[in-house]
Amino acid sequence: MVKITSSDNQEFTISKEIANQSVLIKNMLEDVGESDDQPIPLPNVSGAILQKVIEYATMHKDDPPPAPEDETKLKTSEDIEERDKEFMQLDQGTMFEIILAANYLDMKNLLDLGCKTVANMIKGKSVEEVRKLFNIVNDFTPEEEEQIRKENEWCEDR
Amino acid sequence: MAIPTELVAAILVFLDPDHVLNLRLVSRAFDAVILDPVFAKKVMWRYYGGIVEPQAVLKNGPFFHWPRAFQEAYSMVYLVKEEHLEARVSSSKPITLPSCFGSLSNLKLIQCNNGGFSGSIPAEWSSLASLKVLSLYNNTLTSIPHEFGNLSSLERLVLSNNLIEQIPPTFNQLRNLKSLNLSNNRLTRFDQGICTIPFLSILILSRNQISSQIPDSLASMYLLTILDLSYNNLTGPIPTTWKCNFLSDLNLSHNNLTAQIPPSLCILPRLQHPNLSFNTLTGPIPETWSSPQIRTINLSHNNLTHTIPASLAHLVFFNDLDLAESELTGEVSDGFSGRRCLIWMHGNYLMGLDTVEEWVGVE
Repeated sequence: MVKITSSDNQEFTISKEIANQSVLIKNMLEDVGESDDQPIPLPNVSGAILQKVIEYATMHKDDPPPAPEDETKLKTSEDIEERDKEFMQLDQGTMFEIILAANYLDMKNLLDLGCKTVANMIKGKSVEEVRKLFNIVNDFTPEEEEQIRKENEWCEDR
Repeated sequence: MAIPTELVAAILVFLDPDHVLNLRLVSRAFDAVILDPVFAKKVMWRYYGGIVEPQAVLKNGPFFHWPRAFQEAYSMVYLVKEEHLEARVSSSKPITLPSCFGSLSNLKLIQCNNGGFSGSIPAEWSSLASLKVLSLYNNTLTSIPHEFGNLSSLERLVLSNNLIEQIPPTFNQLRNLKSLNLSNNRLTRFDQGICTIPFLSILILSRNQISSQIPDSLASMYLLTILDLSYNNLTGPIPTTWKCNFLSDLNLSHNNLTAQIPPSLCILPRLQHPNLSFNTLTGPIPETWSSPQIRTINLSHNNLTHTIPASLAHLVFFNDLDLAESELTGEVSDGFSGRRCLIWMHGNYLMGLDTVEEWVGVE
């Protein structure tokens, strides 16, 4: 078993196969050795988020190991498993925190899942709708905006 | 919570390229991510990976509408090993040729014909060291970059039906250029670059607005086989000294050339189809036509005088002589009797035609 602690000092005890889904933790375990009983600190992830991440890792603990990255293979945002879709039914803040945690913990599948989910939310939306959806402030000057519009003209009216 | 900036690229990579480009307008952070070439490459890779052939994408045209970063990324991924690029864009608005092709050092042939491409040919293309054929006819291109003198492998350059006004002087460095077609452009003079291309064999400058004399340097281009200067506003006399010993097709028709037909032109040994019609040439038709390969001579619609030289009757393959609307007078030689050739003669004042068997168009 492996002990990890969150940024707010919550301690979790997880099995090795779950811990190994995070490349970050896996590497740390290899570095410190088996015998060390000290919990691994994860200062970038809160306890609540870590709880969700462990939930995901537990759900996927029997998955075959990920195939080596094939850059030429098409990855679409459509191919999401049903249980993963359910898992991602979260408020936006939690969702982004989980994606950030997956990024930090180096969990490729969870990171992809999160990014695909957000991409699906963006799909088909206009610039204005995307800004609204994610509370993004338009920080362009009108001139800059005009310039980009001009450069993009082709894609818009095709 | 706004999208964490470090996740923008990872998320947008799952969207299709056109939509991604639209999202540049969301914020500066989005714009910066989207225009990053590494990101652009990932989008292309993911979206087109393994399903669309590069040629298909080029023909469909979206490539040419992408901003530079996307074009670069795409060409880095897919086109870098290509030797031939053929592209066709049907677009109501003019677009520029992509400068990023300049990095495709394997390219031997580019064909972007009928494409609505406008502006200059990108100077970056001058580094295409393997390029042999560049065909860009039926576009609205306006200029050829000065750097094109560096295209050391270029053999054929087809730029007919464009809006090109000038040939860069560096063309004299194109040591492999055999064929240059600039028909139907906006040239107004014989640029230095044209007459000094060292090994040029085919030169087509018809249907421009060249309004000067034919320079002597042009008549000295030793390896020319085809020279077409028709439908310009050429003035003055035809150069008197011709050194083009391989010249077979010469078309100077529909200009304002004056004075006599120079004898040195008529003795070019491989001449087959001289066409000097629709000028204001004067004087007699030279008797020195001597190329054994002459098949047709068109001198119609000039102000030539005297008669048809008897020497023409002895040319072996000769079968078509057009002398319509000239000012010819006098007797036609008996030598034409029995020859099977077409001679177009209306508008002249010749006698003795009844001895010739197959006159056509005699009035």
